[in-house]
Amino acid sequence: MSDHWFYIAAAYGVTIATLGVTTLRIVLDYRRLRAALARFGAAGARDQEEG
Amino acid sequence: MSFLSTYANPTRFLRFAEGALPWLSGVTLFLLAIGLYGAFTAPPDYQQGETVRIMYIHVPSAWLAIFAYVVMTSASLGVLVWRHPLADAAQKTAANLGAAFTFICLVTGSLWGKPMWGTFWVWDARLTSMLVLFLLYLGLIAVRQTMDDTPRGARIAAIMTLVGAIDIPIIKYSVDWWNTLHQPASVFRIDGPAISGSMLWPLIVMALAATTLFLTLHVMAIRNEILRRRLARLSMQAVRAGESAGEESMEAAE
Repeated sequence: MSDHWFYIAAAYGVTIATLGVTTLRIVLDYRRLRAALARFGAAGARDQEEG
Repeated sequence: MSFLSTYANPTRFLRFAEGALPWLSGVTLFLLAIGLYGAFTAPPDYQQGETVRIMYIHVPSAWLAIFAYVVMTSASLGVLVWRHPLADAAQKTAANLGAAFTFICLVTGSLWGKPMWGTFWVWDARLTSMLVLFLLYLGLIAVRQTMDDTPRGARIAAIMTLVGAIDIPIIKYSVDWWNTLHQPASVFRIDGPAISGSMLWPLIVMALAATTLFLTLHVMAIRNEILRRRLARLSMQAVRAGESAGEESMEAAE
């Protein structure tokens, strides 16, 4: 590595962090939405049974 | 066109996403592994030394920053001409990804500029037009967040995107139109790439990896947007059902 290793490591670090956070946000959002829709589905089924 | 009309249906798109995402993720990881191997085994540049390794992330992120805006511009036409909800979801979700790639491009460019130019930033035409692109993405994200998912919000964002598209040719040709510190194009040139083959192939593989990563994340984000709208619709129906049940019980009590 050259004297500029800090700049190379920082550039790759920022890239990994940015893409990692972006991916994680999308994945967590998907899980939250699936869970919320499943709760609606369960509530709908319960309503139908009670109705 | 038949592909578009087939998958423009949200339910069909969800089925398509289910099948396509494992393949897209696999191809992305495969290309990233090869690209990173090439990026760190390619010879150092005769002038820039090891610092040239920043190129393998900076250049693909710059291409993807522009590609995301081209995707948004096409989707905006879908919103304005056909008023299609899937085009709106594609336009909305591409903004976050475009902002992320533009941020990476600006930061890695800055980190490359310091050892090569002696400064993190200059108000050079290429750098400034790229910063304008980043601000455009942030503006569009802010518009979508303040206007929710109303058709009016979608149309305003689509018009803003089309107006902002003027920045794309400015970014591309800024290095030809003005005297800039930023180097001119060295890959997409009429007389062929001005870059050694040993450095070109890892760059192309990294660009393909970034493209498949963008496509993977975009499909995932559109899927989330479809589910979010379904959830909002179900919540609204539940509220209305609750209201009408309340009214009925009040009438019965009276």
